[in-house]
Amino acid sequence: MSSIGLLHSPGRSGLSLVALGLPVLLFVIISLISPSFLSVQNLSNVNAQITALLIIALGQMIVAISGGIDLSVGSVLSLTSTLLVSVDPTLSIPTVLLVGVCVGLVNGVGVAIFTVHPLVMTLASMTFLQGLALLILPVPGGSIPGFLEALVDFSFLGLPAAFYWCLTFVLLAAFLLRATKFGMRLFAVGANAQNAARNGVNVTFYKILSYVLCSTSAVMAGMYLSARVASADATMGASFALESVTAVALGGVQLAGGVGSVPGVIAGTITLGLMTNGMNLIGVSPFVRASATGVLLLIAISLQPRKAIGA
Amino acid sequence: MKKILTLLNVAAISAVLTLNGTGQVSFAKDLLEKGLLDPTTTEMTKAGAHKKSGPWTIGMSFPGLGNTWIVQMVHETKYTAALNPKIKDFIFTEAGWQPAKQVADIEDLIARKVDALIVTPMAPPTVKKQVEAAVAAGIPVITYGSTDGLLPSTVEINLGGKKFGKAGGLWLKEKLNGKGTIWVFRGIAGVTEETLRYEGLLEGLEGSDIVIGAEVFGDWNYTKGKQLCENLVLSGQPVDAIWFSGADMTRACIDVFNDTGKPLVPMTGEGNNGFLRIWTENQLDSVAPIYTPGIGPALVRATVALLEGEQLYKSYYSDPAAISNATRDKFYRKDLNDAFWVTSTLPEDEIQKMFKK
Repeated sequence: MSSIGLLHSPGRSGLSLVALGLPVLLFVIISLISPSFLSVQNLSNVNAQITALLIIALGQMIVAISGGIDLSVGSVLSLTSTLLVSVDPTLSIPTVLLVGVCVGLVNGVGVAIFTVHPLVMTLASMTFLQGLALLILPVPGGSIPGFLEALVDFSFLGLPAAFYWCLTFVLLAAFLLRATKFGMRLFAVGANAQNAARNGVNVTFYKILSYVLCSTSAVMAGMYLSARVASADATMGASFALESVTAVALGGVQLAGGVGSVPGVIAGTITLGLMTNGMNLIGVSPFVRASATGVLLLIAISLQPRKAIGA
Repeated sequence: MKKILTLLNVAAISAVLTLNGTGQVSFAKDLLEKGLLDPTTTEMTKAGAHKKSGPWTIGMSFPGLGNTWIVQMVHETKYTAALNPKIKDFIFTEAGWQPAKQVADIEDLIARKVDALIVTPMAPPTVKKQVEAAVAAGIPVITYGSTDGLLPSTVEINLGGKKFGKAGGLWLKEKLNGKGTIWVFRGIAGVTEETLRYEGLLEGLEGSDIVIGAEVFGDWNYTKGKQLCENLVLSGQPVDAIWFSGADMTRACIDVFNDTGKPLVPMTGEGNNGFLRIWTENQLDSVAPIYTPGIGPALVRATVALLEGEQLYKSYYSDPAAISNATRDKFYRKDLNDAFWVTSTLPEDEIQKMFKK
């Protein structure tokens, strides 16, 4: 393979040297500039900081592979946070999971059955759910159920809870995509829905299911994040919609559908996490930070040209 | 109660002056000029408890950028920090108004092993764990903003909040003789400071027959404030006065009233030069609470005092008299542009460099 060919997305995984090399490059650069970067405390911080984004980005990846996009994930996270402190602790987990499934169903039905564009459909639910979250909890606060806090505040074999949260969802997503019929058919739907339908795949069902899984991942991220800060906030998830899309795009997932992989999403999420952490440690001006992230995204996307799959 | 507290403060200051015998208040530096920032308690930090030999690295976690007040406050903060040769690094982080990002920022600053941490919590409950971790690690934490005792801050410096909102509410109640319909322009939904200002407004309106006809979130932003005001004006909803949660929203709404030819109604503002200009030019009836960008320098001075081993009061509050129709001209600077906020700690040449028209 030529050096230019290495930069291109190979097959349906979308994995490329750019996607995998970016976090490695950032890791090396930041560790050279900031001596505190490689401390155990800091690496543990980075792990904890990227966990919620990784969980949501994995959900976003599933929707993206199906050819859609879900902008409501941040509001689902915020709503989860507010519900966790507003309902009886024994009912909190079933309640938020049920809400997640319902939101996913509404988004999925809107996109797959009523053929509303995914951007419009999930933008509408994003706005509605954000308002609902603020209605439930206008002022941040409340107490997260103790058992949930314990689930994010332990260490095992010298590794923090955040590591196990990441591992669990990475394995789940990888299993779904690589070892089940669901994964295979999801790629087929995203690559070419008409062809998939002609081959007997229930496109509507798989599209709806992808949104349900995505919303559920946002609920899980909301549970993790609320427990991590031991409090609820109705605006907690506001940045996650665009950040999750950025993470999957950095990881080589094509938003047109049919291309994406779990390692790519991990790489994209770590890249974003390292950008934030590194700039804080180095002391980069906040005025420069947002622009730097945008430039990085632009470079990464430019070096990963779209490839037609299933056409 | 306020008088008792003042007497206690005076007594405490006199006692230490006597102890020092120098006439210099070494334990309680004037973080800002008197009347602009004053102690609210007699409780003090322990002398020498946070003394560290320099040079220091100081970290500051701020909720986010987005308006001219923040830009000026950040500049004044960095300017003050740069004047002190013992401050080696001053790391300013902003969370883009995302609570989760602020949590991460504070964690990063602790990992960076800062000597002191300044935190402006977007929502105190969400950063409680991290502030506790910093204090446990021996890092003095100076907070700015209402925390209601939730955070174990070494020193708390506060301004705005309920008093800001209440000042406008009381003024409107007086202007409207206790009855009428007002529109309410709030800041960013979910931000504690915003909620406190709103609660202050409601307290100020208590006992009156004033009705809130419309309530919108303008994000303390000129552009969004203007769009919302245009919608309300064009909807034809009745309005006798408007309460604003501050920043650039009043200026935006006055522009809308002028553009549409609608007569101005009493509006609350804030100590911003652009607002003072438009207030002057339009003969508007208004009141403008002062939310000083000098709070940033005060935070740096408090941090330095702690690291020098000096004592400080545990909490301070900035509650200067609001700018009124009578005092407006003392504050308005014709030579400066709209982005300037009173009261500034910057020297005149720096003010001219940044804000000259």
